[in-house]
Amino acid sequence: MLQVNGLKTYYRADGGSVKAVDDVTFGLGEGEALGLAGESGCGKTTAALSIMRLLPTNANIVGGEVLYKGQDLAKMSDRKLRRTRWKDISIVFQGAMNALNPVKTIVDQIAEPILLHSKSSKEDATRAAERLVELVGIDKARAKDYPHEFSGGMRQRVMIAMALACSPRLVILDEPTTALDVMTKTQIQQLVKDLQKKLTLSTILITHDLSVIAETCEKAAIMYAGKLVEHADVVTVFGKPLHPYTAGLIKAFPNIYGSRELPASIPGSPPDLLHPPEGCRFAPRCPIAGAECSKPPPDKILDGNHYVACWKR
Amino acid sequence: MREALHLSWRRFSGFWDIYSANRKGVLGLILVVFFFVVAGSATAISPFDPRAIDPNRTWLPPNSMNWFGTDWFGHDLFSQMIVGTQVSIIVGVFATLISIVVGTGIGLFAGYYAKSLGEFFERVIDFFLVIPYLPLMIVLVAVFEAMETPIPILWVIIFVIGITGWSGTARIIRSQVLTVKERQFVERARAAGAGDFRIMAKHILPNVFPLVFANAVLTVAGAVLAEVTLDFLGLGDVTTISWGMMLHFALSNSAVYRGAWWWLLPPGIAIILLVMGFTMIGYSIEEISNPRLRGRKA
Repeated sequence: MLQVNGLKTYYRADGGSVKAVDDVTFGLGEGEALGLAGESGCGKTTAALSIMRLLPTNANIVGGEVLYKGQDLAKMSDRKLRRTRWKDISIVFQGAMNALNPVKTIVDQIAEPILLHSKSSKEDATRAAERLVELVGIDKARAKDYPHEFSGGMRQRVMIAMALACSPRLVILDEPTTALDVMTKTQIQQLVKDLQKKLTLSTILITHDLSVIAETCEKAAIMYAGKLVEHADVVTVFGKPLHPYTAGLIKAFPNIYGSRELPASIPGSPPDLLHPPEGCRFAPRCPIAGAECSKPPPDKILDGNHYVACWKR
Repeated sequence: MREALHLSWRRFSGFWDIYSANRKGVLGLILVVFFFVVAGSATAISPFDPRAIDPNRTWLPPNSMNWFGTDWFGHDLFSQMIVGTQVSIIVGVFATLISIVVGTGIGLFAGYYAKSLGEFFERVIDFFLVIPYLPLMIVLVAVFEAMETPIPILWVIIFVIGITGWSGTARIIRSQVLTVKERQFVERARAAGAGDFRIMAKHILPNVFPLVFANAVLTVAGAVLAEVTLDFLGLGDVTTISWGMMLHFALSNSAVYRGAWWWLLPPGIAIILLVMGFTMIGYSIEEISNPRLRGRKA
């Protein structure tokens, strides 16, 4: 349904271009959930925004294609893209607090995309928006309230309702549970999972929290410094990680069993994306790096469909 | 419908609760409402025809018949004061309307298209900001009067005050738009398919509106003063009755020399009170919409 091939998104900056997303390839089937993980600044949000071409003005898609139902979104005309956006692919933005207009009632905000994408009347759109409010588990009586009258978790529900307004096939969720407390986080995860089943949605979940991916996604893709390093189904990625970075990330997660100690971290810090290393970008921090790692890593596909970009596997 | 009414009433009373706690704001509101009521019922409450002349009753100090005394022509000054309120209110409100519409529109465009047209708009705003606008107003009014347009001079004055007074508003709105348009809900609206005009009208304008409103109230004060100034300088219509014209005639008939304080003080004090009323409302709205300025109860 969605196939991203060799996507490259660069930011213009002083002294060259920042290769935030560099040659990333992944795919997603109908009703599937893909988790996109990596540490801050690894390009996961940029990759997701590139799919919808919602990039800031200093960022450009310089190569690759984003195929959605056979059409390349990266080369689509602006006018056509505007019709596809939200109707076929929608997004739940990072930080629900800022993505809601503080001076408009939530029902008006949810109804806005419906009004923009269909010829329905204001009353019909409002009624549809009220149904969406109920769908995400908010009392209909609160539909006419303003964003500041809601808690963080409820605002996130409103954002999800808004993303579903035009019944899209694919929803991108950018850090939907970050900054929420554990209980609310679980509720939102459950809601997303339920909706996904009910509406046969495909989702791309962007997060730095591997546990969220393990709990809600079928497939996982791990990014490091603008590159995709590993991509397979969740059980394989977490059960048998092949890339040393993935293994490091999983080890960095606290284990509730065993002795109380700080989880292992990966020494060093991510490379400067203005001048990334020639070869494998993880090599300077990699515990098993060898001489061949100064050359760009190969694209290996092992065990059928387990993608890993590493010389050593 | 009833539900909606109830809701808006709830919101209004919520605002009123905060507003009424602001002593300055309440005092300002009382002053402004008082002058609006006087202007609205002027013909009904003025004891005499303000244009009527009694040659036997000139230069009279305040007395039981003429509460504010009479002038050199024998006009009743109390009646003139009451009827003169109308001009100040009309000019204040309509000139402000022009200023605010122009200023908000230009501020919105200048802020929203900061990268492309911004520079141009900014220079236009700067140009109007640095023009000494009293001479500009004088020239404009003189030109319009020389053109002998069929438009009444009062409306010429309204237009001139409106068109010279928008630059401050534009600058404030522009800077606010610059911050609001970077907020994520603007990006979200664009992602959802909203165009530039929809984003400006439905998302950015409502967010800068409290500022527009607070600024409008302050602009009224400036407009009232500008009108008085033009009248005082003799650029107004000598046949209208206004506070500025009263001062103008008082000066040209050497009221100061004659010691006729009753001809000078009432219009002067009324102008101060009206301008002060609007200014106090403006500042308290600003305080309320910006909670950092809101006085906290200990």
